[in-house]
Amino acid sequence: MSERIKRKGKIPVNIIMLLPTNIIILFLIIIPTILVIWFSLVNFQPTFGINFWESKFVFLDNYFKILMDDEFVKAVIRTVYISLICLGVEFTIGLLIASILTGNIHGKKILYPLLIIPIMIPPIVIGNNFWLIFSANGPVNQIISIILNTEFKVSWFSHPKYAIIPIILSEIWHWYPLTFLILFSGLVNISTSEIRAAKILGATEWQLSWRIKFPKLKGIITIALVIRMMEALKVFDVVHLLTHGGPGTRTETISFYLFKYGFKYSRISYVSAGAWIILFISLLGFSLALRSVLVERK
Amino acid sequence: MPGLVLNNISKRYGDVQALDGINLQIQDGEFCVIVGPSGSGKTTLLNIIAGFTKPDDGEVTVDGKPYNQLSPRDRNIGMVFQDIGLFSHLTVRKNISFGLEIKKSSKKDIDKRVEEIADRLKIRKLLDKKVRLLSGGEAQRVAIGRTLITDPSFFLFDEPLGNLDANLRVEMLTEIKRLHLHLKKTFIYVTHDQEQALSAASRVMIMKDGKALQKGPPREIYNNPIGKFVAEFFGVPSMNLIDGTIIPEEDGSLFQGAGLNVKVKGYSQSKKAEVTLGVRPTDVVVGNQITEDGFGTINSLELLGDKNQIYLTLEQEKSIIAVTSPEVRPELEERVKIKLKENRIFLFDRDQGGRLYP
Repeated sequence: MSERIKRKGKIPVNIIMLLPTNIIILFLIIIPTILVIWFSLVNFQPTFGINFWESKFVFLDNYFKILMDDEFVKAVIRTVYISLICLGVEFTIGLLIASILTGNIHGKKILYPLLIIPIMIPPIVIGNNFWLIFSANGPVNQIISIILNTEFKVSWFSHPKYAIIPIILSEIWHWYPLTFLILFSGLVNISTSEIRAAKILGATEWQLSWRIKFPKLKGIITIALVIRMMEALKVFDVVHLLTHGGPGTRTETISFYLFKYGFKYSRISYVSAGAWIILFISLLGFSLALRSVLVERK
Repeated sequence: MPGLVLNNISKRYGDVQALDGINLQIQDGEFCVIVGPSGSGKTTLLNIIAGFTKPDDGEVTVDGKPYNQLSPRDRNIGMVFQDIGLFSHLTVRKNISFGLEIKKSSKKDIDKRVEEIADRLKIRKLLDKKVRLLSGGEAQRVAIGRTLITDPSFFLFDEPLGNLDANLRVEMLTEIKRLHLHLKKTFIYVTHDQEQALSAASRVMIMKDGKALQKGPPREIYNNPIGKFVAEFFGVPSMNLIDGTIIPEEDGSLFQGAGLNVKVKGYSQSKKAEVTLGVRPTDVVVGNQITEDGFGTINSLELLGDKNQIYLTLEQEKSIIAVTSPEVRPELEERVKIKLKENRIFLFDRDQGGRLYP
């Protein structure tokens, strides 16, 4: 198409059409990415009063420093840990609801929109709601008090061990509709004939799930997990709203750590190196996960 | 004692009466074809036999045993689906072996059975292919192979050839017929294409709007249709139906319609009546040396080699089809004499569709 247009010497409509998008991508993604590479290789901090293009080139020094930082490594491990718990629980809930809704049950039409409401709520609303729910005089403490029949008063957000629980729970509540939606679309797409054929050949419900449904959903499960993992790795808002990374640094996640060092302490070069490490590791992990799906498709 | 008995099966979906009191007895080893236009309830009936759908009323028994409460997996049935429904994530071999693998048979037995079946269906070369790469006919063979492995006592076919092209359809039908001869098991075959039904069936049930209109061997239904719908539906090309009036005469009656005057000797009635005359295309004689019942204009001609199919227009724009021997070669637009074979005429009630004569 483009060749033909060039030959005739007419206006390259396709290029003009794509130009606005490309300009946006250039300014929002390409230039910042290049800048971040540069930042991560020099010793730049706005508070130094030296322009970033004149900063001292330190090569991989920032990378070594941040990798040696105990706080950073702990934030990474903590984020992965939060993500894996969220992923596991959300996957189980999502699959359960999806299987129930693909069956013949009443009230499907009402349940379906109700169940996907959480994903449509802005994180700040969810954060504030969970803050209220888990506050010292909030319903969680009250309900536990009633059940235990003694006064129960934990300040969740400042407890060194429990502070992470509200964060995980709010993430799960916010994002389970995503895995549910993806798995549901996968389940309804399995052909009735295949399921009936398996049944008539004598498959039990268990064999049907294990030998037909699960292998057919493998690809879509991987995709659901990858999308959710991407989302989970950058968890920030609830941490910011609920605990602010505290008590101490007990609930700091990667994004919160980078935010703190980058925008509060202005250590731009330092966090640029951290951001690159995270990007590299996640790209590697996700492309490996997705490759298994793509290979199967061939 | 007959094998499979359907006793007064009824099923409603909302306002639609999908099945309305179906009775059918299928003997062991029969090739029974259920035929009807789309929406006549034939697939619903098949799903009830397979156990995927519960009837509102009536029961299915096999050799006197009630089947209603049995789940599909306990019914010992083989089923081939219209959209084939092969397990697309497995190879051909794994598709065929599925029925035995879930029963945890030994690997040796499974391999032996799979190869037997593959040889019978001539799909040995395909065994290690992914089913996604199969052609329509190959996929159909694999689907049949998959049902064979559990050695079911009857086979259900739900429009299995609907998605194949004409040549393959004939080939696969021959294959299914051969399989039936070999296995001597009960085959229940659902189709809307009654050409298939005619050639394969030992017995046919014609359905319309959830009712069984007529049951019997295909020849008998062809020669002796119970009413207008069956007459028109069963047979290729369809029976010609001509609306007209029947007038009483001294020795029988006279049919007048679309410019035809046809003597119906065996039918006597006291007064004039509105009827529909039916005649098979093969029973319409076209030529010049005949005493005619009327005239028609040649509209179009299909010379099929062994026979000619002639499309004629009668008066009042009525179109009919005649199938003649290849020697009859009228010209297009020619006005020809038409004669209907006397003892091959049917008369139907015009409104109710019931047969009046013979």
